[in-house]
Amino acid sequence: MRRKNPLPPLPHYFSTMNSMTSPRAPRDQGLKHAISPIPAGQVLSLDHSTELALRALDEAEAAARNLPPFVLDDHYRALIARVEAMSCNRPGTDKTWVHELHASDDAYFASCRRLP
Amino acid sequence: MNTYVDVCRALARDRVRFVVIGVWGANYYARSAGATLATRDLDLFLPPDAPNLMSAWKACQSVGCTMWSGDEPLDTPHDLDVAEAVVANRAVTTAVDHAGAEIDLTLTMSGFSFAQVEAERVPFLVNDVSVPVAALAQIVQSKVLAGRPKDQLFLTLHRELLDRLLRRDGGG
Repeated sequence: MRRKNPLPPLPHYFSTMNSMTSPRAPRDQGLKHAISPIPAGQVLSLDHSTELALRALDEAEAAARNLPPFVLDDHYRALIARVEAMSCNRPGTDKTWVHELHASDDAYFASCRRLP
Repeated sequence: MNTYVDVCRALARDRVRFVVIGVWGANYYARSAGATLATRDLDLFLPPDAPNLMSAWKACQSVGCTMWSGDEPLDTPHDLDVAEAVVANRAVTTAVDHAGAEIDLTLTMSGFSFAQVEAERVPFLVNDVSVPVAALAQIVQSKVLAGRPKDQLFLTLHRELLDRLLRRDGGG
């Protein structure tokens, strides 16, 4: 089926894919975690939804670059002070749940499969 | 439990000086899962001290991680000469486990020396391990100073999260 708004070529993504043939994808090129090593010489192609997702990531990154410098104002400082003073943040508090949360996030995303 | 905990336990066992910083560090201060921000990088701040760094590498390797510098495996053997070179360049080395979990060992933190951060650290417990975490105010201040796009995004989201959380609690 022909797309209504075909996307222009995306050489950046393909250069990123190429870099993923190494055991550890280079940092700061995006997608550094999610991709398994790809056998040398394998032809790669991206489906439309993947292209859209990658484009959205690039657009978010570009938008972040254009944000004005963040100002640490008095309100934010006060919020931080209040959070640091909470009873749940006293020295020695058990924070095992933070690691469990990260682990369950990782497991969830690792188990995701595309529906046919 | 997982590599991140195993590394923290190994570092504590080997008396390595380190402090958790970055988004992961900020997440320790969250009161619930809804107040955390997603990250897969555990950033550990170490003093610019070669023997300490070498001990950190050995601790990471003892739990099955391999050490990387940039996009290449760290030179072997991971001896004092290599550690001194890394310290001289204030380079980041990264422990990577078999599943791709990454733990950055950094020798710099924007705006703060290790001594400043260590002095203000808060020890939290993870299982039976005491994990030293940088003060939230220092983590945030450092991100303001670093000013990278991802820091800008973190700060915007984090401020909003705290604002919502404390407003819900009343008095915000």
